[in-house]
Amino acid sequence: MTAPLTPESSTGVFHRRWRELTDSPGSLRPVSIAVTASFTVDTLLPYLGGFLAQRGLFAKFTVAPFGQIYQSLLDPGSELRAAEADVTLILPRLEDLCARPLADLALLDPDKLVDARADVHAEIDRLCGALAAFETATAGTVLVGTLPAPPHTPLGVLDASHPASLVQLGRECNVTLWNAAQKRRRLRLIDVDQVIAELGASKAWDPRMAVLAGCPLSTAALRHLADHLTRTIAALMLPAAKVVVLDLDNTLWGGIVGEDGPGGIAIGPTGLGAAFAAFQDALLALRAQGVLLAIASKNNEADAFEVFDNHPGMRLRREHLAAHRISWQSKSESLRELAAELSLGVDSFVFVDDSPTECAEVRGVLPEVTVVQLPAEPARYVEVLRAVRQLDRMTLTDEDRMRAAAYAAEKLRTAARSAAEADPDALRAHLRSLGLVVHVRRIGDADVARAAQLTQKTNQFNLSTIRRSEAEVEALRRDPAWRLYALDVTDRFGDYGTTGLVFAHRVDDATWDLDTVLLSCRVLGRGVESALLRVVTAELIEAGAQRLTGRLIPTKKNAPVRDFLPRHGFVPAPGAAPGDGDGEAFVKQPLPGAAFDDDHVTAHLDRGEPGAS
Amino acid sequence: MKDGLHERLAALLADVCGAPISSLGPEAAPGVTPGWDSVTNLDFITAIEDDLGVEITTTESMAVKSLGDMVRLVAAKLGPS
Repeated sequence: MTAPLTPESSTGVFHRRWRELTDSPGSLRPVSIAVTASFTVDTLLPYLGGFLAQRGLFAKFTVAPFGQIYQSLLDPGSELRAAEADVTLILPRLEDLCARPLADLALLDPDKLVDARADVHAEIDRLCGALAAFETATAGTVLVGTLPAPPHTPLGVLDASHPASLVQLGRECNVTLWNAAQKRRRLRLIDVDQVIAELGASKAWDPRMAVLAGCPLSTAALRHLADHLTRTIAALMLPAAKVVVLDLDNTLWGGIVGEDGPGGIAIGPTGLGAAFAAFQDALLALRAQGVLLAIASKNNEADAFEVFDNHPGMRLRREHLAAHRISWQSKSESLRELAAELSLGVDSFVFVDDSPTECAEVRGVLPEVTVVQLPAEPARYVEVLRAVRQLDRMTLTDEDRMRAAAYAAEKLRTAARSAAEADPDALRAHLRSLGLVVHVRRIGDADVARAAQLTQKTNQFNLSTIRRSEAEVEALRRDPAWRLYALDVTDRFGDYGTTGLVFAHRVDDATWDLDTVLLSCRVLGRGVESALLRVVTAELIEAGAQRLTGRLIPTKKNAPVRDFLPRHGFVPAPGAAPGDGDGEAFVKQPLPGAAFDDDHVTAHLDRGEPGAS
Repeated sequence: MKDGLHERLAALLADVCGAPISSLGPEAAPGVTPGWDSVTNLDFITAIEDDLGVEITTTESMAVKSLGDMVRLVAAKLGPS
């Protein structure tokens, strides 16, 4: 096995790895990346390509000629525009974009100062306008590097307080970029200053590179930037982890509760306890982003909950936990059980433990789990947690923010349901008592992030398991041959949010193909899929559909969706070979066909203008 | 220190430019030897500086036309041992 690439690996190692990859990318998922910068940026590519490959992505680069940011962004015939890339990366520098006004500024003439600053701001406004135009023209994500502060300035120590301050001017321009990004969903920023700060400015800027290679950044800085970009691009393209499973003793608090007693453990505002309190706060911050927290601990459950319920220093409380296994069984067994309880795959789990033995056990038995072994120093737990790539995210939907509360509501539903489970009539009565309401609507601009997330995260009730990036969903949304529907579900316990999708594709005047049908596991087992299909079928009939087709692509995980098409009147398509590589083809005609068993669900089609949300 | 200097620099160069060390004789040259370009040359210079504690200026590095030149330049900087 080859050693993993890190920002400390040498350029030659990256070049060698990148050459091997371009010769044989194997099964890596392709991602197209177009790049333009105000300086020479070719040196970045082997680093970026190498790091992306480690996340399972094969970068296909298009590089615009350097110094042509505006032409590349605005000219419909430019290489950058023609590339229609998944990700377009734009790295500007104030010194390159605003050479003339900055030269005026350096003269320190009080009469020219105001104009020179205004000229710089006008230039950045122009850049933001070009970025906005590009974002409108492309279906991909536009990643823009912030303008890095120069390593030194003509005014030196006076720069911080002088009206001609270059550093302050750069900050103001970055605020302008940030404001532009707030208005454009697919315009995202890369904090280049943060990358430089992590490495140290003296190591990040290399005047010899500027002279000899036309790039002001050192190769070390380019490697760190590539690492940061890889985290960003991978977070755009790949599903994020859903659950953090935590050990207790020496992970959430210092000491061993079973031996030291609740009064003897370190957790609280002072001393060593503060390190663990900071770690718990970081976990609560993750929970606010939609990551579920769970416990897998070898302990007596009563001892552990004594701490959660009554210890004054605890930040994490029992109600923050989506699930727990506190017993003496192996951690891998606990993880399997937690996965079953939460209806999630262990591949969406991050396991955090201080014990090398436990970490090794989980790595050995469940290699799909991301294992984070905490360091010996509790004060470093937070930074270790925040370096976990699988927890990176580039979108935060309302569903993410509400997820933890949704799981709490689900616990109540499960309790109500298990009381009714034994008897079919009671189950039907239970479903009726839920007061399920389903809203189906065409996907608007504001739904694209959530829709992409659903295609990437939904494993069980997923007909074709076709994963799509935001860019891909956006492209389909704009394509008149496609209709993209999203589903919102509520019941008397609460709001499930946007939890289902249908992507339908017009094959011919009379035929629509159900390319994607998926439901989040949170709304399974309630007849919601029937209501969804009924509403979508009615709408497609209005669009001229006389026949629906669909293709079941079986995976290891999508057993719950296998009978979806047959159960709703679809029959195997004539001439389709069963079990061939493309899954099983089904067809339904005439429409709407068989009755739908969903009379306990109130379903609506919301006929707002798509994108008006 | 100067004994084995060629081997030492060849090892650094092999690492940064990804060429097999056996292919890096004194005649190996930037722009000719595969992988040794203007960027890897800078990495090479940085690696030499870090490894041997010498400083090589841009002017000096631009005069280096081969690995043999670099070995002679570094040897001169290291002085009589």
